[in-house]
Amino acid sequence: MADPTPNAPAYVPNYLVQAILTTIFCCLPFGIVAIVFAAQVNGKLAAGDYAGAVQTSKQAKMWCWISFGIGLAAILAYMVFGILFGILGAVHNAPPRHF
Amino acid sequence: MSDQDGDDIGSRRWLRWGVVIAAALTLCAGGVYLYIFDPARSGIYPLCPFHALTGLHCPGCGTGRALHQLLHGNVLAAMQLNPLAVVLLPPLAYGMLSLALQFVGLKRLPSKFIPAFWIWTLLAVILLYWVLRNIPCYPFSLLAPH
Repeated sequence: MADPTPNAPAYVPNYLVQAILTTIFCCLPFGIVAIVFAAQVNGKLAAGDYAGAVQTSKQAKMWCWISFGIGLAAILAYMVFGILFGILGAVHNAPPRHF
Repeated sequence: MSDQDGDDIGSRRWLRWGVVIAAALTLCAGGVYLYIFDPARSGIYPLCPFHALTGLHCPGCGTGRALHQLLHGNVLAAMQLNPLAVVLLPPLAYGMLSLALQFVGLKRLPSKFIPAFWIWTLLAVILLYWVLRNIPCYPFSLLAPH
């Protein structure tokens, strides 16, 4: 279980863990994009393309953050709407009106 | 091989420890909340936006309920809610721990280089899982939360 295998000349983060986490817990499409970049990082590393791997690693990181941010925003928006509709519901719960 | 992130000097390093400890405490609080409140019947949880909009299950649907069952030791019940999440959980936990260690400037946990092929395979599995768990008949319905 030594760290660098012959296939991996250097360590370049691929953000795979974060990508899977945001795919399962946040906003899907962007997490999927992050997984695609994670695969490309390791593909380029194995091919010896270190510069390309570093470049793709940055993309993977960016999409993880986008995925995380949108997921978080969706949850916050849901909470705000939930509270808003809760209040509206409480206000409107009196006699039914027709409009 | 201990790849320090370069700039962990004094205060910055403590800040990073603070972030990790805060994250760990948040996880623990989340765990306690999940243990007490079953998302299937109580507590306040955010809904899956995909499920709310389409009525379909996404690959993550059922994870909250599955985690509740896992915390109570019911692995089988958890598998019935989101088998993929249950299977992915141990490697994800290992990866998160490794990332946290690296973040505070310690050595990462031992890990093997994952050939790109296996990451593409994982992606294919997730996409296939997404489709299959929405097919409403016997063998596939096992993949949907129930």
